Amino acid sequence: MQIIDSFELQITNELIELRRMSEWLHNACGTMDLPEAVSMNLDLCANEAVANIINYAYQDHDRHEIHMRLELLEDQALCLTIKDDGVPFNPFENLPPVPFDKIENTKIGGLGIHLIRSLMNECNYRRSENKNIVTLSANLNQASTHFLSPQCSA
Amino acid sequence: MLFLQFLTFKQGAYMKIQGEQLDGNVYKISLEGRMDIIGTQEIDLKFTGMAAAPRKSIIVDISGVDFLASIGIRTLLVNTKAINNRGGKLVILNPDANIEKILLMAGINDLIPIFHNLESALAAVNLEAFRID
Repeated sequence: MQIIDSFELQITNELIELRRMSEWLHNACGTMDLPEAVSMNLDLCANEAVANIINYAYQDHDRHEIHMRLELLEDQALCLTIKDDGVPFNPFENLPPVPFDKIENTKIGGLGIHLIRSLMNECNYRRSENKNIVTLSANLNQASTHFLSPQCSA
Repeated sequence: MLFLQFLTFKQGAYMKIQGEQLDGNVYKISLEGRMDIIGTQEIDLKFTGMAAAPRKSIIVDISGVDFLASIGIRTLLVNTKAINNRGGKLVILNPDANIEKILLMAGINDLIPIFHNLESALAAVNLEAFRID
């Protein structure tokens, strides 16, 4: 599959870095002339996914690097790959224990994942070479902005 | 009849939050900016304070919010539950199209009604304002 365009970014595992990530995504989508809605959906999903990594993938208090790559493929698929060196952590399966023992809070905990699944066409997790690799894909040919039911299963 | 408007305003580095006392015991909280983790953390405490007892009728104007992550939705939900438990009501006013889409996707409109004009928002919360407990 031919890659039409590719962008890379490295951030550290600090929540403040999410703003830099969003700016990078916004600029990349602007360079590729993508619709605003696509850029916004991607921004939201990236924020949800990477926030989970920063909050739950590390058991130490060290500085870690998170690698991100955004690619536009020739079949009009937009893929965001997020790679971290934390403990084995599948954000689509390993939801953190909730602080309150209530169904409502369980729902809130999984809300970020629900949003990702609703907005993206594909969500994948795999573990390779001691890294967590999450891939989120949106098919630009589909009117994904109108989908209200979960699109992808991890 | 005396008409008093109390305005409290906070401009943080990322988000702006403003509270305004309206007629009929209704309190309007206006949010502006990016409600991601950083933005939400900045206003979370202030928002909770503005939505706290004895207030029972809250309108949250989010027309100025251009990004809403699950943590922002969580703040709205948690405060709404607290208000509902006191017999009150919180509604959302004027989300822009993209934000509304996210709110609907999250299924939040079951718990927090969304309105696109102040009159209907006032009508919805005033039902609670006139309740006698």
